[in-house]
Amino acid sequence: MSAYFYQHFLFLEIAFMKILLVEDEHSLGETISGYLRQEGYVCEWARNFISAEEKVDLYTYDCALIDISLPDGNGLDIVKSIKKSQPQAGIIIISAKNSVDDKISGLDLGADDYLTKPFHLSELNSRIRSLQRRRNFEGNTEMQVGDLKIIPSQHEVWFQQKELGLTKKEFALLLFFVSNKNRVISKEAIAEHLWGDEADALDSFDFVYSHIKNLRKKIHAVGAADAFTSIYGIGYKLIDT
Amino acid sequence: MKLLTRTAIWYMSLSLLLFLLAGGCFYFITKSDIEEDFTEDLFLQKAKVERMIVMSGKLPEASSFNAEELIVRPTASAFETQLKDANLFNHLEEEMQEYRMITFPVQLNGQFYSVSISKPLYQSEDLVESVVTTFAIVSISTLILLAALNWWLSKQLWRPFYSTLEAAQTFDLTSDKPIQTEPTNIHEFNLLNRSIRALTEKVLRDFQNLKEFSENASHELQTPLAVVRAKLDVLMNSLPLSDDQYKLVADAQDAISRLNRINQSLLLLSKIENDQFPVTNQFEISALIQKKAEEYSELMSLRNITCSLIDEIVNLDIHPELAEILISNLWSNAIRHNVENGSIEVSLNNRRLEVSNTGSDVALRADQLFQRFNKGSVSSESSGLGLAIVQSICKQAGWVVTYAKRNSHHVFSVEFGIDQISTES
Repeated sequence: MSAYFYQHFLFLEIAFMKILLVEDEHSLGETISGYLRQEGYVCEWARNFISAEEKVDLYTYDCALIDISLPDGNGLDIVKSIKKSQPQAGIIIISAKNSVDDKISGLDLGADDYLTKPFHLSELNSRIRSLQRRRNFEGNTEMQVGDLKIIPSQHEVWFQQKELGLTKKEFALLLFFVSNKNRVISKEAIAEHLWGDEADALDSFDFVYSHIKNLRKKIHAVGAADAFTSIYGIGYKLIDT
Repeated sequence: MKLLTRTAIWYMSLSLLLFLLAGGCFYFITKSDIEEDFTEDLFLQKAKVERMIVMSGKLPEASSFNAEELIVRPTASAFETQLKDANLFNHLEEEMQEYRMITFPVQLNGQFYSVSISKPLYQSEDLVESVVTTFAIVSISTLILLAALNWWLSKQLWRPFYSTLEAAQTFDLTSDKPIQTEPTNIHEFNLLNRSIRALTEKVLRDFQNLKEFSENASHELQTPLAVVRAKLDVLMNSLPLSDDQYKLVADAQDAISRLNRINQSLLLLSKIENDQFPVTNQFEISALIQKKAEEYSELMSLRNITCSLIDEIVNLDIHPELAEILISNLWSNAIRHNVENGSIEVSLNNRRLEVSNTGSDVALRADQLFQRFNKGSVSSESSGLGLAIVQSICKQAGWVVTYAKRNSHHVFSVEFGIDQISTES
């Protein structure tokens, strides 16, 4: 490896978050990697087991998204080798398998998170951001969004000297929007983010609407600017300039 | 009733009947044979007396020898020879006994005499008695032998059959082990064992295939769904779309979500029905209910639904994942079909779990409620499989779920059944 490349590489690591995507489905890999690049990540896409192992050997990553069912190998083996060679990297398993046993075996191997297909890109993004926060700052981080200061570790949101007093779900909702700011988030994505599989059994869209209404009310109440836009029929967007 | 007990009962009652019949026949035949001999003997004596009278020209003297008695009386006229049975006193044995008596006329010197010869029948009765005794001994010992044979047969001869039966009973589809049978040289049992082995191997193979198919089907469907969902997410954010275009994307997202849920639910149902959630430990369902109460508290407060919870510590034989799905489905059902300012009551004891909620005034149709794809409401969000899953989980655990409308409340209750109960207090 040339000295130039090495320096360049180091530079990249400092400036951007480097993500390894392992996904054999061409169409999905293309969409996810395109989306992640648009979000400002550096994303490398391995289409099979062998090229994933090669990349893990050659480069270091901040985060790896690994589909565990690959045609030429088991993605869990990649999880193992990443855990061994670069333990600082966060690992998110993406899988079509939804059973608790699969999840547990993935997490036992050292994966940080487990995402079931089909997922929303906004959900994937929020998981990466949350992983990033946990990894880099051990959760002791503050975020400034517009006029609001968010302290994830304390579940607190401040506007000037006032705390908003959000409920658990409202806080999760706000964080989800912050992770995906300036993007349209569909109400399905919100419902699944808040309630997971249980979204099915609930009138979840009504509840999404209520939660957002209450969240906006609380933001109004402290006198902060409301940056939410509702997109007719489809969902919501948080605008942050 | 055991097969062998049943055959033994038939065998024994038939042989008992046969022995009784044969014994009866034997008794009567022997008896009549002996009596015939008696009669012949009496006639022989009669001929002897007549000959003696002709030869000696004297009447025989009345005599009593060896309990046989001969009596001679003068009579007015000749009469027919008579044969009759009578109870007479036996001087030898000093008791009344049955005698057979022949009475016939003789003529001597123009005078008619009646001669009676009587002979006690007890000799013949002794004989009959011993015949019957012998028969009884033979039949009782045959019955005992038959019972012993039966016991031995069931122990030895039928052992391979019972071992196969036991193997079939303990056969576990999820354990992935085919049935082991005891080798035997009895043709029928060999045939049975071969068929059972072939059958279980096929069942195991099919079950394995089915499991793989379910998983593959789910995997194969989830990936294209993920592609469509991701593409729609990108499309949604690519350009400012018009309201109509947003509506198109929203509808497509909606459909993908439903497809995903139906797929997941069907997969779950087939996994439950395929016994893929083995029970390993007792699970503290009461702790789960507490946890769920907390999780749902925010949702319930959005609609001003009050919730009351009465529970005691209850441990049950159920897989934790299934327990969680069961509670979630019942609880979210109670929230979903509730009304503004309504209420939910959850009560748990070691007999049953009851989830009751306010809702519409119309009672639901209990017979259709738990069927797949039966939708209580016209909401497009639900997969229509939630209560079917509840029922499937209950069936798996040996529980019974029922629905009833009590006053203004819709009540779902899960009866745990007596043998499942185990409490710690």
